[in-house]
Amino acid sequence: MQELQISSLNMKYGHFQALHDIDLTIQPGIFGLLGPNGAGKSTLMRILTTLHTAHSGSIRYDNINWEHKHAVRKIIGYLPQKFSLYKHIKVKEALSHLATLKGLTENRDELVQKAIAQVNLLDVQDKRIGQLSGGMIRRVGIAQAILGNPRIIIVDEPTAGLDPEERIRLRVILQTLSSSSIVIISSHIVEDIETICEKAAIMYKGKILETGSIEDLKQTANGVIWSIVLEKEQFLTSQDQFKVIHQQTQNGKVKIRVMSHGAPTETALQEEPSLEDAYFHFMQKVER
Amino acid sequence: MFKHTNLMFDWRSMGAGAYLPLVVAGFLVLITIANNGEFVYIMTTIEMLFPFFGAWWSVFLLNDTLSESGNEVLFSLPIKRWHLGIVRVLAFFVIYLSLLVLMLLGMGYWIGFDHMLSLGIQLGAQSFFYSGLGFLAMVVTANTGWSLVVVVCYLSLQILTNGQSLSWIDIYLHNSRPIPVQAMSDFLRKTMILGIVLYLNAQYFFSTTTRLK
Repeated sequence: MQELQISSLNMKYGHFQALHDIDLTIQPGIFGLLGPNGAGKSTLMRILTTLHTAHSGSIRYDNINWEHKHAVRKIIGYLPQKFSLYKHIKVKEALSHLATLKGLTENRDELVQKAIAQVNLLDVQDKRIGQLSGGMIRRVGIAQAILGNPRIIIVDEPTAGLDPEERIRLRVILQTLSSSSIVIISSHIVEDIETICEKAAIMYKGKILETGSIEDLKQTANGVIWSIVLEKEQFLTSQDQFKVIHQQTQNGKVKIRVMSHGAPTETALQEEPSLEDAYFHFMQKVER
Repeated sequence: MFKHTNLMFDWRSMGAGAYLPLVVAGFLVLITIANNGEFVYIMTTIEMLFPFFGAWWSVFLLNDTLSESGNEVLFSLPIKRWHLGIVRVLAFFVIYLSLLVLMLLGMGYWIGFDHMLSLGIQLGAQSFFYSGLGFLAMVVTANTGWSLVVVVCYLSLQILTNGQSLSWIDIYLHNSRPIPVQAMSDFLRKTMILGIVLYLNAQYFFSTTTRLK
């Protein structure tokens, strides 16, 4: 399978520079875009889906250039953060219509059934979309994105607003899809990226801060992550002293995970960094 | 050109609201029967209501395309924007013209079949204008409620001022009986030009909008 090459991409909204010289090479598998709100993730996604046009730079996949939008649209599937189209229409009919709009006229019914089965919606395929739960509507969105096996699948905030069970289900679906396509997901939920992506880029204010495998990204915070167990009162009085990333109550005590370049207390234990730690570490560096 | 057009799907996607113009056309036939086809009693009502509902399908047809979350999906498909916009709106305008023909046939016995052509041309041209107005309002506001407000404001302005305010955009004849077709050439020219201007502007904004959800 081919790589998606993004080179020197810039995007402006008026005087606001939304993307600065973005360079990325995305290989087959699941690639995550991680960053706070306003980092430029959605702008990049919209450029990839051809909804916006970059002011400079190029995007290529195989022999397809993003200047030729119609050709690009034939190889992408897109699920935006919110999807609530065709509430009065049955799932099967809506997907069949979207398949027609995608130009999938041959074996259309077969392709629709395959997509419905992949997202596990066979039981509700004859129900109107407006009658489904939020998680099921999200899965209808995934089904329309994967119709016709697009070579690039772009998913914005895949698990936003879903309950834990639906989150897990959606992650499994995305992982399955990555065996035959490039799947790009954008999220500010670190857990999503850490759980399902093989590689990721951390974005901040329109720039790529770091890109690499999840393991490589984690290692950028190596040696600076510590855990400390404190009494509750002690925690309340001393929490301003630490850069707390995570806290957990255990048997009346509070276990905190902190970022520090040296041991923050005598009893602190050094920890293996997680992606959340690495993300926090990057944000601390750029906001300093 | 029409390989992506599925009018039945578009009809169903509008929900129960799609049927309202049919109800209105039926109501106008009943009004005609109740008044024994006397134009002086029915003409104002017909001229006020039927063209107005020409905007109805333009507005609700574009609800999913322009107002609903996730409409970005439709604009990322390998389909031209003019097809998602003007082609579908015009297709529904043609259906609206068919409804006009059916309504006039329903009224024919009472109003006299000799007046049907003149009435059909008048209402058809006015409906074309409203269909374009609904299309433009929907593209600009991306909201069905606000689009209907725009269309109602235009209707109110022209009816309440009897076409005296902003008369250059008045497409009403304010007639109490059918006008011979030969006498309608100025009206037809003006109404069709205004309608075309509305359609072209609506499609221009539709083709260039990046304000998607």
